[in-house]
Amino acid sequence: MEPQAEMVHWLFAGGLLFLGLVLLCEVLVDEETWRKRAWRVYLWPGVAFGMGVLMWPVMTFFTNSAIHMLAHGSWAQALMIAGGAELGLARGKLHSRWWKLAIPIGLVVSGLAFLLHEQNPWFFARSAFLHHLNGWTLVIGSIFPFGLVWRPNSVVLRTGFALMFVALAVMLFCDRDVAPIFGHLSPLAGVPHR
Amino acid sequence: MRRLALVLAALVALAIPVAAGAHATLKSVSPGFQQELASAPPAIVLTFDQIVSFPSIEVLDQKGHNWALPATIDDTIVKAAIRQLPRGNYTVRWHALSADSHVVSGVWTFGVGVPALPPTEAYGASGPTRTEHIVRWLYFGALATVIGALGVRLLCLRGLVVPPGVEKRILLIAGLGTAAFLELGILAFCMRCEDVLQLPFGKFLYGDLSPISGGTRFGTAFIAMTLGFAVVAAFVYLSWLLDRTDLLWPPFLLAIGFASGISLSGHDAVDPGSFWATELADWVHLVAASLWVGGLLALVLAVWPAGAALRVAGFVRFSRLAVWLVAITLGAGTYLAIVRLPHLHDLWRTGYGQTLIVKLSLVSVALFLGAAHHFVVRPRLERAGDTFLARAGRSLAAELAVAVAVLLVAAVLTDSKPPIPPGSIPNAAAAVPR
Amino acid sequence: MAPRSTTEHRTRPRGRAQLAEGLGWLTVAAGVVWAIVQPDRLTLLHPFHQGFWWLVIEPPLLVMLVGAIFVFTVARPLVADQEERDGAAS
Repeated sequence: MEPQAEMVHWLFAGGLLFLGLVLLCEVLVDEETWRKRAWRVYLWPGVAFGMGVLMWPVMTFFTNSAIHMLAHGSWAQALMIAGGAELGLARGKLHSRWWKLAIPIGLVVSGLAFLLHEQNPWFFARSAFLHHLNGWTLVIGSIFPFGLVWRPNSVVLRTGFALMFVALAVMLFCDRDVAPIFGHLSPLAGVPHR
Repeated sequence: MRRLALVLAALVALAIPVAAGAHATLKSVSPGFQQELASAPPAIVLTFDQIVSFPSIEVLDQKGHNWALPATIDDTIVKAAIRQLPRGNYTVRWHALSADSHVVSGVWTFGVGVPALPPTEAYGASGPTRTEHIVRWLYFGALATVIGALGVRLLCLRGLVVPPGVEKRILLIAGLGTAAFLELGILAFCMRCEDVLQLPFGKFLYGDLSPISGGTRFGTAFIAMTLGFAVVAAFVYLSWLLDRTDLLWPPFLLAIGFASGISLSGHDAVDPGSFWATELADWVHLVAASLWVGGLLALVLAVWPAGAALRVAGFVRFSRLAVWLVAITLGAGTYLAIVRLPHLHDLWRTGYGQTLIVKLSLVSVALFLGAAHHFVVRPRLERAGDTFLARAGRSLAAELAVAVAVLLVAAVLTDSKPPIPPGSIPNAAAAVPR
Repeated sequence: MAPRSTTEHRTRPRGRAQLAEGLGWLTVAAGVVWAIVQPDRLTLLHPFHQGFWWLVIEPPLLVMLVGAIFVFTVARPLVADQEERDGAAS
């Protein structure tokens, strides 16, 4: 009794939306108040790490093609490593600022996995369009955490980083397995469902 | 912290995922994967989620004769009529051009009047290659690294003052071992699937692996062990993050538990003469050997660079534990060898037996070194100086090297076919999904 | 430029914390609007032979749920902490 692909995307969209909201919230309030409760400091890296762990069932149960299995595996590992590095920095177990590179590298790897595993053109169907869009958003969006390695207090970069997750969530929420995109649907894609 | 727990619990509830997709994939097939049919089916039917073109379907008997007529397309359904099939096992191999210009492919098996063979036994599937032996060796090594590192920390260094450097090294070894186990597991699974699908790399990327992951013991073990070791990785990481040694118990027990996936999908679970005792013996053999080999690794790499007091205490405790581990490994191994090789001459007449002789020879060398450590080195450790400790470290490394070589032979042995015991029916045995 | 008053200094951070809470409510509202605009996304309104996942995973409801979780577990405690800090400062 497996859910359809789009449902799994919606579930992960929920996680990404939460991640985006928490990051936006962190930008809005002052640092002292945010750090008043220790758990808040670990919140978003912990959520990212947890989503990485939860990506493993997706990888193992979705084996309709080897390339999808490998793409899901790369997302699981990227999320766990990036979330883990941030948790280590937040906890004071890691000290070098270069660990901050785990996030932009993770985003680039995840974006490339999106782009490589989607072989259909942009307007083939909605899922293909969103895979391309997700991939490019992740690759280009990696500029924000990359900049944060050198300018950790930049409001613009932090806001951009947070909004990237909200945008990814919106894209994933829009996903449908077989549905048109801006009125386009390849006749090869099959019959759309509701 | 309560609030954090609440948030995390809510997110877990939000995200209990299972599957996702993009290019043309199979929705359903008829006959089903590994289905046993009472009578011959009139046609093979594949239903895709998208329209495909240029389909090709072969229905091969065990001699490789194709019984299918040319395939036809009706929207997302591909059909191939087949001539009247006699009783027997059949392999369906299919290819189709997906709309994304990639050839999607797959294979499955079904039986007419007989239980279907697993897809790993499909017509045209090849056996494990030399590269697969190496991957399996590294896989065993990674498993031993995880179990051994965690075991040394929890069993041999318990109650001792462990310097942060040693703690960090042990966790690093366990963490790297877990990551390697996951990666090698994926690689081993893909290679096994490639053996079955028989496709070049470019086409293999779009091959359907679901009949193997969902319909074989090997695939089920892959799913269970991957999920189990993902949790092991999370726990090892949390133990490091929170400086909580007690958090190493769940991953230690999980690693031991999920190692059973190897035993439940290997010779001692599926070959003729296998039953619950052989499965249990194989698992015990695997865990004890892993703890011994991996423990040696952790001792040499993590404990030996520490101060003399910890080295001595660690060595003495590990030496005591190793006696039991070796006894269990040898006991379970001997039992399995008797089950696998019903006649003594099988030991030198069959390939499996000859490989076992090589393994036993290497085990003897490791045992000799282990005995020297236990009976010669251990009593002298209390009053030993730095020179003696350095020599003992080198000798431990030698024992480790031999043990690692044993793992290589064990990997070859696992990939080899043991002789079939008299009185058993090969086809019935092969029908057990692997 | 005239110096800002002490009161303004104190209320601004609190205002930002309340803005964060507003983000959560905005997310809940977005879910509600989505449900109204695309009621077909809510399988519960017209269940017809749908399986377990169709009945459990309903995107507008997920959006509302995430917004609500955010408000009650992150934003509200944050506003309370900000008020506590403001109180201690005054």
